[in-house]
Amino acid sequence: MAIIETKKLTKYYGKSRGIIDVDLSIEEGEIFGFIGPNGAGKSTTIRLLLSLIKPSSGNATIFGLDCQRDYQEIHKDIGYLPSEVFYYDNMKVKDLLNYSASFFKKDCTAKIKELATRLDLDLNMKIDNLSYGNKKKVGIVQGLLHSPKLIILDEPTGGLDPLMQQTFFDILKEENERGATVLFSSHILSEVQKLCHRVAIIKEGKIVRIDTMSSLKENTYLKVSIDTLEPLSESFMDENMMNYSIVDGNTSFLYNGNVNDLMQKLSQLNLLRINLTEPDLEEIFMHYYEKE
Amino acid sequence: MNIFFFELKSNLKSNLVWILVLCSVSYFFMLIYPAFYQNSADLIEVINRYPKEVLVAFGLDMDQFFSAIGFYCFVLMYIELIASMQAIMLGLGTSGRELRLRTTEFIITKPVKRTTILLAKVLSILVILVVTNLLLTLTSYLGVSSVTLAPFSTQSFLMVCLSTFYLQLIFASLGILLGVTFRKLRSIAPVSLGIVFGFFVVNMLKAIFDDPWIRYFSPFQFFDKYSIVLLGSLELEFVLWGIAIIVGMIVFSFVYFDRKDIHAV
Repeated sequence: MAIIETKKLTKYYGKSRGIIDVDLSIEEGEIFGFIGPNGAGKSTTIRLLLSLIKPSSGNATIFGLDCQRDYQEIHKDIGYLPSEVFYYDNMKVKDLLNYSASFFKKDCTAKIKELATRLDLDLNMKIDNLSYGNKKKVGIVQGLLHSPKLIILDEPTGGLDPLMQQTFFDILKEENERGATVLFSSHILSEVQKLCHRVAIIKEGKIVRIDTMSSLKENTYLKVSIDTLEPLSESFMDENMMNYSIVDGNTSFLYNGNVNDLMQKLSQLNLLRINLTEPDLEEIFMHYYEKE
Repeated sequence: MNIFFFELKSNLKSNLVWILVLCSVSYFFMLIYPAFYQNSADLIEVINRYPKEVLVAFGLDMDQFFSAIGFYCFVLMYIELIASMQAIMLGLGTSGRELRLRTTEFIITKPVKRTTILLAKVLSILVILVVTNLLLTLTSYLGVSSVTLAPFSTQSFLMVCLSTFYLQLIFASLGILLGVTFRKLRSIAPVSLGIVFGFFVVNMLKAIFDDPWIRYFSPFQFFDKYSIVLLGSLELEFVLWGIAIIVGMIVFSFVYFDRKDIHAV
C-alpha cells in the first residue's frame, strides 16, 4: 500500500510558484529521498503533506487518509524533523519532550531515554543553553519519541557532526527496519546516497525524475580538475567528458563513464596536480537538463 | 488539556505580577481618599479653576467625585489602563506564542485539531482573566469599604467592576485576533502598548469633542462609570455591542487560524 500518495499536487503562493502537478507514490517501508536545489519545492511538498499549508489544487493522502481533512488522525503516526528547530522559552529538554509526548496517547518515556542516550543528549539542560547541534538532537528525539510509522525529514542533518550524523542515520535505518517509512529531503547527494532506496528529483516545482538509488548511481558523475605543464588540446576530450573548460594548463570536466578508462587516459599525461571530487547537485542538474 | 495547562503555566508568572500591580493600585489609591475628602473644600476651589474640558478629559465629575465609590471610579481610569495592557498582552502572547517563538510547526504537526489548539488557548486566557477580576474586585471592595464614610450600593460597585472585566475581554479578544492573523511577531509589548495607548487617546478625544460615534470605537468609553453608579446597571446597548465585538473577533480568529497557511520561518 502506498503510504504517501499525491496527485497533481499544486501550490502557488499568490502568483509565485511553489510546486506544480507533483505526483508521488511512496510505498510502505521505503526510505525515499527527495532532492533538489534550494527553492525547488521540497519544503513546499512536505508542508502540504503535513497540512501546514493548503494546496491550490490536487490532493495528497497519507495512510490512505486525506492530508487536509484527516490531519489529526494522520499526525498520530507521523514524526517530523524540520531543517531548523525552534522551541519554547525557558524549558528543560525533558519538559519539552514530555510536552511533545503528551500529545500522543502512549507512554514514550523509555523511547525518550533510549534516544537521548544514543545521541548523547542531556535531558536536564535548558534548551536555551544548547548549541545548534544539540538543539537538532532534541528535534530528532522529539520527532521519533512516539515511534511513528512515517518519518518526514526536511534537510535534517545541518549542525550535526559527522559522528552524530552517522548515529542519526543508524537510528533512521533501525526505525526503517522496524517498519517505518521515511521521507528524506536534502540537497546533499551523498547523504541521500547513503540512506535512500528510491529518489525523486525536483526542480523548479516539478518532479523531473523518480528512480531507484542503484540506477541513479550508475549515472554518477565525477568532477575532474587537472593541471598540466602544456595546455591540453580539445582532442583529448572524449564522449564521456562533459562541460569541459581548458584555461591555460588547467583542465576541468565532468566524467561519466568507466573510471579505469579515465585513469589510463590520465596516466599518459604529465600531470602537475589532480583533483577528483563528486560534483554537487547543481552540476548534476545542469547536466541532467543538457541531456534533455 | 495539555495545551491548556501549558499555556496557563507559561502565563502564570507575568500575570501574577499584573494581578499584584492591579490589586495594589486599587487598594492603596483608596487609602488616599480620606485625605482627599478632608480637603474637599480646597480641592473644589482648585478644580474649578481648570477649564471644563480638562476636567471632562480626566473623568472628573464633581457631584460624585467626593464619595468613596466615586473616587474609585476616578482611580479606575488608571486601573483600566493597566488592566487593558494585561489583557491584550495576554491575548497576543498566548495566541501568538508559536508565531513569536517559531514553534508553529511543532504544535501543528501534533495530532490535534487547529481549532482545539486555539480553544485551549482561549480558555486558559479566560481563566486567568476571571481570576484577575475576582481578586481585583475583592481588594477594591476592601479598599472602598475601609475608607467610605457613607454606605454604598454593592450592586453598583460590582457593576463597575464588571465593566473592567468587559474591557479586559475586549482587549484580550483583540490580542488573540492579532496573534492569529499576524505573519510575523517579534515582541509583544510594543504592539500591545501602542494599541492600548491609541485607544486611550481616542477616549480622551471623545471626552473633549463629545461626538457620540467615537464611543462605539473606544472601548474605554463603552461604560460611563458614574452612570453605572447612578443606575446600578450597565448600559444594555453597549453590553450587546461589546458581546458582538468579542464574539466577532473570536469567531474570525478560529476561522482564520483553521485555514491559515503556516509559512516557513
